[in-house]
Amino acid sequence: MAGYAELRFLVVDDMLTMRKIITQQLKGLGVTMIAEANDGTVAWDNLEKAAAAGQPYHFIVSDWNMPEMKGIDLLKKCRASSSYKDVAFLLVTAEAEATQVKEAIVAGVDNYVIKPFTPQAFQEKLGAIFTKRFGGK
Amino acid sequence: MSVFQIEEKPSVVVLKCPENLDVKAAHELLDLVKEWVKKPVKLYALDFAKVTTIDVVAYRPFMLFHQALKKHGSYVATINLRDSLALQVKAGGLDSVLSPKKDLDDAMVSAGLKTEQKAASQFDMELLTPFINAVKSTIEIQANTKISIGSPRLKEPDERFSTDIAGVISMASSKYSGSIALCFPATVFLLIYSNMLGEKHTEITRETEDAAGELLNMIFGQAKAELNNYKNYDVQRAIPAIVRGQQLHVHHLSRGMAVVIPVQTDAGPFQVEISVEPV
Repeated sequence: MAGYAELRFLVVDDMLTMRKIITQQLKGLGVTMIAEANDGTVAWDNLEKAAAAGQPYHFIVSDWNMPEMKGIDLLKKCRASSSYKDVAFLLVTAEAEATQVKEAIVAGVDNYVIKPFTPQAFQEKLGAIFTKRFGGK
Repeated sequence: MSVFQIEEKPSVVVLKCPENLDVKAAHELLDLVKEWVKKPVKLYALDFAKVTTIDVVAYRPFMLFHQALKKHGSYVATINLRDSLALQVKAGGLDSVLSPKKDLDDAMVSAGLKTEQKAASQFDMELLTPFINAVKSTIEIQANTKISIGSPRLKEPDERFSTDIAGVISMASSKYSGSIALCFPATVFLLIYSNMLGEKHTEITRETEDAAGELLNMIFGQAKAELNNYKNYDVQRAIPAIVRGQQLHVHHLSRGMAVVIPVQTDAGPFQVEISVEPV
């Protein structure tokens, strides 16, 4: 049974401020391996490199709205890939419309946090994925 | 002794006219104008509240009065004109000379001294309310900062708000298009940043500046969701831009007026500006 400290996380957001907030939240939960990307395209490159180095990411925490590749498109690309289809994926986004949440669920997101969020809300949503995917408590 | 009661206010002179505007009154106006053109104000408002008759021989002096002040960049208007006299003014070709207005506020709007404050209260609250709600939840939840939000009001022409950093976003929807700005003085921004991230900074840097964009991103996202989910606005997604400097002036390109939502924090005020026009 994996703990947070054993999982490699990739935080994807074009805003440095939000990457910092999420990283702080993850560290507070005991995560020690965190990488960052400022766009979906950079995140995809990171996924490829990490896999090639034998150190794949277990968990992606991504924004939706990014200039080059949106988070939803990164999610779809991961789910369509034999290498990354099972990566845990949490969308943390200001996009709060019912249609967008539905689109993300259909695309295979594990969970969805709407900004602004409290640390408790983030923990709960992340924890639900952690339990489901990694059998954690 | 003058037949007129004269009230002088900043940029405005109000002349309360006598019951009978005869040639004597009209000539007194011309004497007054000789002094006024030396140091004219923006608006001369002739208050006709007590006027019951206008002598036709007073028409020409009125025209000269109007011409002299207009030449010096002033605006002449008549307020509180009775309906019966309004007909006489129109029939006598004096509409453009006396410029009848409903009241002093209306005259000040025409003279460019005031924006239409009444319109602020009639501004589409259906559009504003989601933004007000979003500002409160974003700053209080994500930035851990208590705020109090003031009443929305129209931004005055040439109004300046001390802005050192602003997030700006375009808004396109099926009902309105325009722009939204989130404007902070440095001290307020740095307090909010500190509360949000637990980091104290003494100046705004490249590292910290995108918080302005992220806060606006959250505010816009929430407002957009409410407008789209419940009011069919079809607001399109957008990515904010950040502008940093000193004493910035945000100028909205929309032809609509800008509404200011003032917000107070412990470190001082910031504001949200919304400028849209109907599609």
